[in-house]
Amino acid sequence: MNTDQYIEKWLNGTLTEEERARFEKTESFKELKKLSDSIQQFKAPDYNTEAELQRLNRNKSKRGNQIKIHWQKTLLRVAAMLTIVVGGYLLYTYFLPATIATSIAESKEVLLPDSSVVILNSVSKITYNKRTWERNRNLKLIGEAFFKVKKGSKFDVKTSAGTVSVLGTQFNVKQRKDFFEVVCYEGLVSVKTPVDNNELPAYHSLKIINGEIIKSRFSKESEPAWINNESAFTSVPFHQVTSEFERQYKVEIVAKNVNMEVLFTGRFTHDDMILALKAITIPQNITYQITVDQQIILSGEVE
Amino acid sequence: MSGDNICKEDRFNEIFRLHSRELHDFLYYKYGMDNNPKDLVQEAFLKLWDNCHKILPGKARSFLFTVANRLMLNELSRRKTVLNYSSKEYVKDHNSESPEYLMEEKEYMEKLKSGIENLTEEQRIAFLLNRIEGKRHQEIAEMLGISRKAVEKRIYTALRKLKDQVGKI
Repeated sequence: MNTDQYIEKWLNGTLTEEERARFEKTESFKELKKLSDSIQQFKAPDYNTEAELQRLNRNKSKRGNQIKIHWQKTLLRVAAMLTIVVGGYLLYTYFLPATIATSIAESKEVLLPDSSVVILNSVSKITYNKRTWERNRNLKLIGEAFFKVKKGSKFDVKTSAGTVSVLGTQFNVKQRKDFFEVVCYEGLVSVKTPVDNNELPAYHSLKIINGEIIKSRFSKESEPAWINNESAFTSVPFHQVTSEFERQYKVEIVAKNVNMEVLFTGRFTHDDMILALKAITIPQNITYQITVDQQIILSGEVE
Repeated sequence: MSGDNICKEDRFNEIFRLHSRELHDFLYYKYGMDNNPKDLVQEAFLKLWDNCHKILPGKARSFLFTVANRLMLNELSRRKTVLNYSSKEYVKDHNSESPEYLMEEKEYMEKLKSGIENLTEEQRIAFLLNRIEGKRHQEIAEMLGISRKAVEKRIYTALRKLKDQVGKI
């Protein structure tokens, strides 16, 4: 057995007593022993278990806080993002205006947040902001509506033809093609058009027909006729009359040989089309013909 | 040892007392002083604490050793391997020895230190666990997850290298 083998066996502790005795006499063994003994001086430094345990427990609680803080931070971030999203949405819906519209032969009554009332005639539309209403009473109108405004801050009705402002009153605003009319039933109404400003007291009306301004007085009426299912006209071009007729009855009016600019004074009911037709045609000596596909042909006198 | 939770403070402290020193010494032998074996022990136990609900008491030791090694591998600034030696046990009466002898001894120890530091981690840890801590080959094999034969080979290779380093007396 050579030295290496002795050394190996010595390392493994598998030397026999005899081999051991023999090996211990050798120079190699002396070297080995010295090395082995010297190695002991490389023992790991002392470890103070208790002190290290205390240190660990301190670190543990510190870290616990950090983890808590980390989760808190994460939670905060999530909460912040949610708040921004929800807040953004709420803000968006807050400022989204309310729109109420009517179609043909339809009329609607709208209660505004301040208890003011708007009654919409057919084919009309109002737009306003529910949330900011108390502070800022302004709405847009397309078409015709009757307003009963509760006394309070300024109440504005914007139309494409002009803006009507009141403080608390009842008035009717009609804005149709080339036709703008404001009738004041109570209180004082201020009408601002691109051309000028007008003050309308009760029982006065202002009309702008084809750019022409007409102011007039009328006898006591508490509300417009259409609220009572009747359309009334005073010196209104006939085409406005037929347009309103089309709005109240789902029909199309075709006029042949009829002067559409003739000023018409009269009224027609919303509840009986034949009666209504008679009301608008007889005074003008016009005949009518009702066709199958909801069309009415008006024929004037052949001159 | 029942399957009780190591998340309990008492239980956890018990496990610390049981394994911390052994882990410390292991890390010292393998990576040296400058890689802060004490701090590594702290971190390994903190990781154990974080995962306390997932680990059975019986698996704690292997978890700790695995984590500690992994922590070392992930370490960005790995420091040089430095192992120190003491002379307390083997100090002979200095006055009775000649200066030359003392100097030779010093030289010898320095060479031995250098030799140990230059072993591979695998050789060093196997060798020192065996020679200093008195651990048997089988035990070391289980700790390192290698075969008993591999342990023997590493120890033997380490010894040869150290012998070459210190030279003949």
